[in-house]
Amino acid sequence: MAKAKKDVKKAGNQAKASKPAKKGAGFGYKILGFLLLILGLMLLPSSTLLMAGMLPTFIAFLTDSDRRKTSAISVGTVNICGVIPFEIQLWEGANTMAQVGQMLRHVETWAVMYGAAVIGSVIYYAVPPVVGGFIALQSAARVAELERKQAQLREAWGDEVSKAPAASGKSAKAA
Amino acid sequence: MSAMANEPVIRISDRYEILSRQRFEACDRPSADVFRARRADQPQTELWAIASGMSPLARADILTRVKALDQPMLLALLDWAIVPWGADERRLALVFDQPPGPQLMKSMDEVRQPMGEEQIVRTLFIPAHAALSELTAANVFHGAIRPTNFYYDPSGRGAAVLGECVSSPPSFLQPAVCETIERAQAEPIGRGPGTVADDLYSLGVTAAIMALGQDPLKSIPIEAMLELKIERGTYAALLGSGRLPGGLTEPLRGLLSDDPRQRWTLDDLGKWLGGRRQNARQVPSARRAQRAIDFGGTEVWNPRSLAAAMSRSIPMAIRLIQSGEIDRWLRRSLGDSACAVRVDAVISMNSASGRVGGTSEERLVARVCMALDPAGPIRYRGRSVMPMGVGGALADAVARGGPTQPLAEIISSQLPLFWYGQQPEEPLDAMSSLKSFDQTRAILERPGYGHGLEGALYELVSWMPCASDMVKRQYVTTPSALLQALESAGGNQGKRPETPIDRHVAGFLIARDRAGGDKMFAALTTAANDGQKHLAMLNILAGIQRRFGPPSLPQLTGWIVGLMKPIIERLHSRKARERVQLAVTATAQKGDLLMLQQLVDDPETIEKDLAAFRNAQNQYARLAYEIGEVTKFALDRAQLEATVGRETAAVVSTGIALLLAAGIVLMTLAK
Repeated sequence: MAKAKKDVKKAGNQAKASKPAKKGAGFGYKILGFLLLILGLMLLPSSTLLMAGMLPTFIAFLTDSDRRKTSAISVGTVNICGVIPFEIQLWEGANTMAQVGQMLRHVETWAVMYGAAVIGSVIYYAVPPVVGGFIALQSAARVAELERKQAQLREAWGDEVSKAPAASGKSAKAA
Repeated sequence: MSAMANEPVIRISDRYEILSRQRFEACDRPSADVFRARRADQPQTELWAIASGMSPLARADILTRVKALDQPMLLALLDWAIVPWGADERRLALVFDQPPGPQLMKSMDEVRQPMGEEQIVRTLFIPAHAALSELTAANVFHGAIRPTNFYYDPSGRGAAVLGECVSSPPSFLQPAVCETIERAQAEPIGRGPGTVADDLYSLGVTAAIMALGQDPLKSIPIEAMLELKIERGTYAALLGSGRLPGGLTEPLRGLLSDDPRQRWTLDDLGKWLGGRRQNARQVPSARRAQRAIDFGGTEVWNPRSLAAAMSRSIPMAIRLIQSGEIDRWLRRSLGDSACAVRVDAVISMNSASGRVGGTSEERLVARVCMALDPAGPIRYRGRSVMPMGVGGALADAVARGGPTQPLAEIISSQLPLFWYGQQPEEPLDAMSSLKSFDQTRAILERPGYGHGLEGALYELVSWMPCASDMVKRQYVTTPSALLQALESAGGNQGKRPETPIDRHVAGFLIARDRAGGDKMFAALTTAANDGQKHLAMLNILAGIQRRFGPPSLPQLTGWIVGLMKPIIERLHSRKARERVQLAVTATAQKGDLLMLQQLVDDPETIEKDLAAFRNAQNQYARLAYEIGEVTKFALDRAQLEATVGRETAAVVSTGIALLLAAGIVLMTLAK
């Protein structure tokens, strides 16, 4: 429970920290984007298939308002698993644009790639409520445990123990 | 004999037995119960005993000295003790020797055969001279010389034996006629100890009455008798119209002198008894004014009478003082400028102080009365007491539950100091008396337990038993006896008060247990709450038990245990409280106050408990903070899902993807 709490804080802190880093990192991203573009042009059939298959991930990335892009990660990681078999098939075959076209003409290809993306989306929407419920239960148990300890202290020391040390009349008397 | 064998007897020192149901009429007196007594090994009940309570108070301060006297002309005090009397009472029992016969006179109203000169010398003067010599050597004032207190065998030719003087305050039982004018003006309880000169005066009156066969003044009221004595002098007042054997004129003129400086001393009497005749002194009568002063329609001829009259009517006295008539009368009619100067000084001092209202008028009149009659008693707000009788009067007022305020005001207004200042010759006891009054006044004016009126009483009357309602029937004279009396009181749960120390007990203990010190009682006075007050009481009583015993006081300890709840509750730990409560209950059965004190007021236990309590408080506060944080975190479910939930979803997706990717790679490699 405490770890989860720390994570929330950490995420917030990271989000805040990413703002000033954004400008410095902008140039690096441009270089990376340029290199990927060159690589994509060099491996045009593979990159075409990848672009087509990973379209849901791109959409998720663009529509995800979370700075951590948890939606894109959830959809993308599973989505790529649906694209990889066809990429392997392409690399084992002619690895041409014609083969890509032939593959994209099959409904199964789209069904596998986009089905995987759908699974990622399902995970993205289904897991948070489950996690929230679990944490709530865990918190209630923790509160009950802490309250039990407080009750033990009251039992041993009386209600005075619940007062702040300075406000305890009996303590003042004894002192 | 058999009836007597079954009779309840009270033993004293295993030597004497008092038959508490047999009154001894021969020595009966109104102030105390008189009983037959006997030696423990003898059946004859020839002895007698007095069982004395709180009022009137026996002269316990002189018992040791009187018992030590070996004078056959004085009825011997054989022994005394504080003994159980009835079911729930203790009294001071005084055992006296067998008197040689009946009293010279059964009562002061009796008329008997007049005694001749030889008989008076043999019967009265010789034994009384011997007895008074012995008493003077022992520094004891008798204060009970009267015809009804001489015992005499009418069949023989022996001397009369002077009766006891210890069972009541000095001069308390004396008829006014047997007392000097100034002591007779004081109320009987407030006459206080006098001097041998006062005893010799009483002897002179007794001899005069025996010579006449009766008291010649018995038929007139006391005020008129005193007026007569003042106007004509005691000798003339008593013997003016009676026939007196010629040989007695000389000693009676000497003994009945109203001026103590002119009165015969023991030495003078001894010389006369030895055959050395002296010229009879002329007894000057009181100075009489040329004209009387009018006081409320009454003509007054001398300052003594004026003082007595003024003390009876304060408003009239004040009017007389304010009119200036006293000064004119004293200077012009009486020619007593010294008295006029004294009175003027009092009035001037009062005017300078500017005090009005309250009791200032009573104080002014009291001082003017003392200036007019320096030898007379202190007359204040209806009380009339000699300075050394203030203590006795206060003791009696407390014992009877009477008003004590006027007596307390006499002390706080320093009237005894003023009285001593008015005396033409400083009395022998002046310094010690003034020191005592000064200390008493300081105690009287201090508030708090052990001080005030109660503290002053026990300081002033060193033999006063504790007058607390809890123990006053127990005749308590020592701290140890007080604990035992409180032990008895503690057993009566229905009637005992809430706490075992009241103002009387505190005053008694401060005065009788000097080693105990004031600090304990200061703690009792300044206690902020009942708990601290009860703890201070425990400390005081435990200290007394440690020093004086007795070792076991279960009832008193149980009583105090009942008061210890707030003290035990000072401990924060419930277990510690239960543990101490169990130990305290066990201690109550043992009756050890010191152990109880150590249990409930152990600094180490209190310190440890406090430290542990602070720790528990901090622990409780940390738990409360954590509960708050956890609750706050769990309550914001949407935030929780948006953060931890989505991250978890990303992690789950990544995990699944990694598994799928690994499966694909393996399948591809397997082809």
